[in-house]
Amino acid sequence: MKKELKKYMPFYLFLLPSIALVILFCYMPMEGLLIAFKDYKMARGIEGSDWVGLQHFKDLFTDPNFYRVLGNTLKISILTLLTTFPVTIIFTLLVNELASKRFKGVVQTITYMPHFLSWVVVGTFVYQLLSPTGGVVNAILIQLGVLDKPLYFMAQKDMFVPIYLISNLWKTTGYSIVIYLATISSIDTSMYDAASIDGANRFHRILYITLPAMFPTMCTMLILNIGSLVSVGFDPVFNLYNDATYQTADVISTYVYRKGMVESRYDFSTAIGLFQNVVSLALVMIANWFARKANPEYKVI
Amino acid sequence: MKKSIGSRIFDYCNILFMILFCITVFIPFWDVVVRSFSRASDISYMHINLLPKVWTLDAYKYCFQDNEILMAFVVSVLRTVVGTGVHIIVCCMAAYSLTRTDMPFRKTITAILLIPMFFSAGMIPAYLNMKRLGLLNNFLVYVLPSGFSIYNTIIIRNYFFSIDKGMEEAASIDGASQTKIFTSIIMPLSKPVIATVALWQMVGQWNAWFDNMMYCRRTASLTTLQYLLRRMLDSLTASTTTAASGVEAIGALVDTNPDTIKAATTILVVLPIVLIYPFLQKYFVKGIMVGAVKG
Repeated sequence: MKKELKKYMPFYLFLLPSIALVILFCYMPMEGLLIAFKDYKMARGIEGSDWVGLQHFKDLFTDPNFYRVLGNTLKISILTLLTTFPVTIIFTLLVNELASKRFKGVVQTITYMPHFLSWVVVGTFVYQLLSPTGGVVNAILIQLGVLDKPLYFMAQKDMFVPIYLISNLWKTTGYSIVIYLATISSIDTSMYDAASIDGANRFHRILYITLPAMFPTMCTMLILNIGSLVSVGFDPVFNLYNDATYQTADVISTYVYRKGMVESRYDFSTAIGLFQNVVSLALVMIANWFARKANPEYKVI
Repeated sequence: MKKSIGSRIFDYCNILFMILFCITVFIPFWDVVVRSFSRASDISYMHINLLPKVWTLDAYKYCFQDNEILMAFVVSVLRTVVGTGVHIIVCCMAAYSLTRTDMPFRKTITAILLIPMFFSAGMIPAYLNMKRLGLLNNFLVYVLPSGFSIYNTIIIRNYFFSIDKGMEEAASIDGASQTKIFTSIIMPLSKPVIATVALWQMVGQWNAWFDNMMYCRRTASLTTLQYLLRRMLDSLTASTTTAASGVEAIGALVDTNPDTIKAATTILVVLPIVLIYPFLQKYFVKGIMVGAVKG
């Protein structure tokens, strides 16, 4: 054993930086989770603060704001799933049906691009397009006579969810088709030829060959998406919402941020975050279990 | 094979749809380019400007004279370069060790590295931890926490596995140390995967802004370009409340940052990504395929 360890010494040394980083930035913060059960006082530190048991969770479940953000979170993530999923599938099929390879390449090159932008940039784009003082959308709607005065879209609380969904589609659709196109490219082309000889038209070929071939990937993606149901990303919401749209836009992660970083209620905010992370973890576990059942080749890592 | 009329109509509709879709993706980019070259006074909601009425470089001149913007650009470049370098070194070293399938404690070590992928402490504990480590308002907070990623490590490891074991053995017989083998055989042979992960990380670092807002909010000399843009967005959102209260308030909605300067800053943020885009396209797609197939 000693000899073994000595032989592998250089490899253990190679692992030191990564283990050190993981301990410093992933495990050490976990101690901070204790403050979800404490009355945290900055001056007394994590250890020195008094225990309050489940008080913060009791507060949480009687806080009407919490049910509002939980509702918004579920609503936004379900609607995101219901829009991105069909749009991705249809867009994949349409791109796949393009006859010219060259045109297909151009379409993909253009539609990928937004994937590489940060949500700050996308937020800037959205505010600018919808701006009442020089935004293209207001200009068009006024020219068409739909509106007689410019409308501040970003300050309308009923507009937030549609704006969010459209921005999300704009940013992600081009990139999310990549994995499906790869699945399609692995289909044996002789299947299409055989189907044509049997009299199948184009629509039949899509319906009975292409779609079934995409099905396993679709299942995996769908299940994984369900795993992240309670965790609407912080970035997109934070860069699209503002005080005027809190009521419809605020999700758990943004609420955690404001309670913690703006109002300095560290303990309460940690409790909300802990609740979200535990539910997320459970959902991911369940989703993974289903994914493995549905597709035996699927592995988490 | 002759195509039916229906099929041909479908083809034309499909092409038309794709062109429209591409235009939709393109509009925000074009809009920001036009704005950045326009005079502030030419932007109004009454007209759609396909091209600037008068071309001007004023906004860019302003940006290049503004110390805050220039400084932020430097910070962003620095964090991208240093952050990517640290990330590649740390991940490659870990990946090389993880190729030793018979190493004692390999399973335990893998578990330690893997668990954070499924459970994290959350926003506030992370903040308190940074504070305890003395990393608030410190450049290191940009490059250390993102220094390691198990996902990229596994992708690199899978590539290392594909390198011929014979070369390593030959070098070992010639008396080369493990460090020597790693730096002069394994790393040079792994250029494709290193390029992929490096580009990945570069985009991530360039686009990062949340760590700036959380941990370096108060240090002007550590403001990144993304966060600067985010603050310009903030000054815009702060005015929404006034705008919501009445249409007449819109006249009073004069921003601290004129639209054209914001547009020019956006261009500065987006341009580097556009410039490396051809490489990104080549490697990124390959990257997610590696992740998906070998997983």
